[in-house]
Amino acid sequence: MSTPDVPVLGPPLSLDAQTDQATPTFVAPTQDSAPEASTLDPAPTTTLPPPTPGIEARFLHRAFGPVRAVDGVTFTAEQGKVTALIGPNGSGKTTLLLILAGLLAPDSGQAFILGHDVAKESLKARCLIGWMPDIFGTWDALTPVEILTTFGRAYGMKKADADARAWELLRQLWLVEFAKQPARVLSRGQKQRLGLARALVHDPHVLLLDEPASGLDPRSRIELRDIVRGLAEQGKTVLISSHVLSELEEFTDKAVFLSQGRTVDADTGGEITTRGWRLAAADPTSLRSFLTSVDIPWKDAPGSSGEVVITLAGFDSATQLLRTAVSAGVPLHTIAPLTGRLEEAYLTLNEDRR
Amino acid sequence: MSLSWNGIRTVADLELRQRIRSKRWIIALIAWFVFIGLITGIIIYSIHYSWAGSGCDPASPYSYCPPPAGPIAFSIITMFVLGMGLVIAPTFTATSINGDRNQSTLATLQATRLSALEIATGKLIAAWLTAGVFLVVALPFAILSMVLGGISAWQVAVCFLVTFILVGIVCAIGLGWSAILSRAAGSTVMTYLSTVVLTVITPLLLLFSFPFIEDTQYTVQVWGVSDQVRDDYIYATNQFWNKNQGEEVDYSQAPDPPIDQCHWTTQRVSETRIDKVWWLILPNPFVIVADASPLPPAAKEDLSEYSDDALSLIRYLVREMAQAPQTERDECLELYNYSPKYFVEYNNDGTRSLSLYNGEKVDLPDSPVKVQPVTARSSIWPWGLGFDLLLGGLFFGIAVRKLTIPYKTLARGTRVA
Repeated sequence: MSTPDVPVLGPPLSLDAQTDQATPTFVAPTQDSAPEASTLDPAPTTTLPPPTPGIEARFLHRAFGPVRAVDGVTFTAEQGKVTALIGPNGSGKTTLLLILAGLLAPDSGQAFILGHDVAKESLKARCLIGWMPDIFGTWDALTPVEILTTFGRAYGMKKADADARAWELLRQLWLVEFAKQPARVLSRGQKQRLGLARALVHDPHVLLLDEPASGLDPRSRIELRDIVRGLAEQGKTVLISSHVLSELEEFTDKAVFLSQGRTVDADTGGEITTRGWRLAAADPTSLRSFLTSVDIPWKDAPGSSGEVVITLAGFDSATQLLRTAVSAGVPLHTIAPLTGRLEEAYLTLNEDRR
Repeated sequence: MSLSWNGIRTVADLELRQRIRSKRWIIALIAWFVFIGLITGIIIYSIHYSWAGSGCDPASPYSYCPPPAGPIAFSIITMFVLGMGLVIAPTFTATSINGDRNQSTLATLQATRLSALEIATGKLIAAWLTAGVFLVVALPFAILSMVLGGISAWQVAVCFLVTFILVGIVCAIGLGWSAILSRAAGSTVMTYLSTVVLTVITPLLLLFSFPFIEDTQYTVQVWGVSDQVRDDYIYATNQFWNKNQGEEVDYSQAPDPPIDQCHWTTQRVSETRIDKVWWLILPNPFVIVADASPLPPAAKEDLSEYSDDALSLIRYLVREMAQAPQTERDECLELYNYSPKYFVEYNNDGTRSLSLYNGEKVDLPDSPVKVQPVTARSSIWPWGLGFDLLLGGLFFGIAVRKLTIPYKTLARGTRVA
């Protein structure tokens, strides 16, 4: 299930096999809370055929009075991938996520979460979804442990299980030291992490993150990125909305663009998985010969001396390339993704906003 | 829509935890305790004091002994606690849903497995339990009135149970308003207004309805004599008085009332018919508690000789209002009023007794009219409480409906999250 329409997907199997072939079939959660997940979900995902997209939206429409907030949205987000939902303010991102989270009924169109219609099988779909709203209201007087335990129980877990899961998430999201303090003392970044932990309580298969990076300092953003990538690697479907383009580009596999409530030319974003990387080595010649030896097409980076540009399928490919290159003795000192594609697309959207 | 104990408990737990954490709650509870205690102290002390001054000597058959002070103190305390309960109840739910919505905590709960019914029930139970704590804190003071005598534990239990239910109904109304209106101020005002409608507006409505029922015409059967016979009798009586103006009057010579000429006639009368509109006061919480309250041990079932405490008084008045006027009237008996020969005594229960001028008791003449004493046997509170429960249920239903996702429509000015 790789992307056949991208011709430059050159890396040999050794580099991208893991990413492109293992991930889509990677469905079942591997975490120790798996037994709870199976009691939560009457139709365990293991029985679903592997190619079911994590999220599938078909011609969604939703109006608030005269305002057509979502006006024809069609896209799919695959399992094991991070899909970015990009659009200017007021383009309908939050409304779309509310529809997908089962809170808002679409006027027309359908949305499926792992094959379950959010309108008709609301409860089933809700159990599969972890939704993190753009504003995370906290129960000020409660502690993070209590908040997470409450939500665990709201998803039907037993008290002991909910408690264990809460602590597990607090450890995972570096919140242990605040575990027993009232939530109101948390900083914005900590609250954001708590919000993410809350969305993860029931180990959902599909994550809807609404502006998770807004207001975070660079370090927190990087941490968030790592967490989100980790979740995708576990096989979860992640849909993340943001307008902080620079860092979205770093962690998404695919982008869906929204403008005036419509998905705009979804192909523009296409598979970000295959994008350009800039490589530079102390010894440009050995880099080039290495690339040739592993059968990766390359070209010289424009306007620079010695740098090359290649196309890779995602971060894992980059990691593996790096590992292989270093063990092959190539003095590689720079490997960075080419930026700008999302921004270009985003600006196109702003143009048609007029 | 599912309703699981686990779901309800999760929501109720969350609500209660938040409430308990805030210091204000404890302060409010202490203030409440002190306040109720103070008022109770004043009530019990003043009643006790005025009783002591009445000069009652139980040993002497000639001194006046008032009934036990317990019922009076208890009735005032019950009314007071109910009133205060109705004042504090709205604060527990009136901003429950829109407050959570404004803090963006509601949608995350709704997005879980929890159903709208579970969220609404959990919130209601949490508020109700909180109100219950306030009532329990006030309970010792009601029990204190038992010290003054004449109050049974059964009475205390029933009054507090009914008060607890009524406070729960107000909580449900508040929950409904908090789901309907997006602003906390609006829903608080509307909840208080709803309480005012139940407590203050219902008696006012009853009062304002009087002009509409003032001259209600209806037909009654009258057992009496013709005007001619009546006039003759009065004339003869007057003659008797004219003849006997001396010191020694032989009352046995006075004319007997012509009761042998009594017969049925049909008459149209026009009267104020409160029994047509009395039900306007049914939803009133005070009326419900008063009517549901068991009678003090000293009172008779028909209340004919007892209306000493506020609860019994309200109960008596409302039940009397509810009673339709008799469609059969005994005017024959009225004739004895003119007779110098007899004394007519009116008893509290609506019956009369007759005695001769020398004090000798005589039987009343046979009359086909059955005297309908002011009975207070039939309870009216089940209707009032039933109505209020329906009202609370209606508002609770609205809250559930407004919490049901996915939302088809959104109220103006509200956000989902």
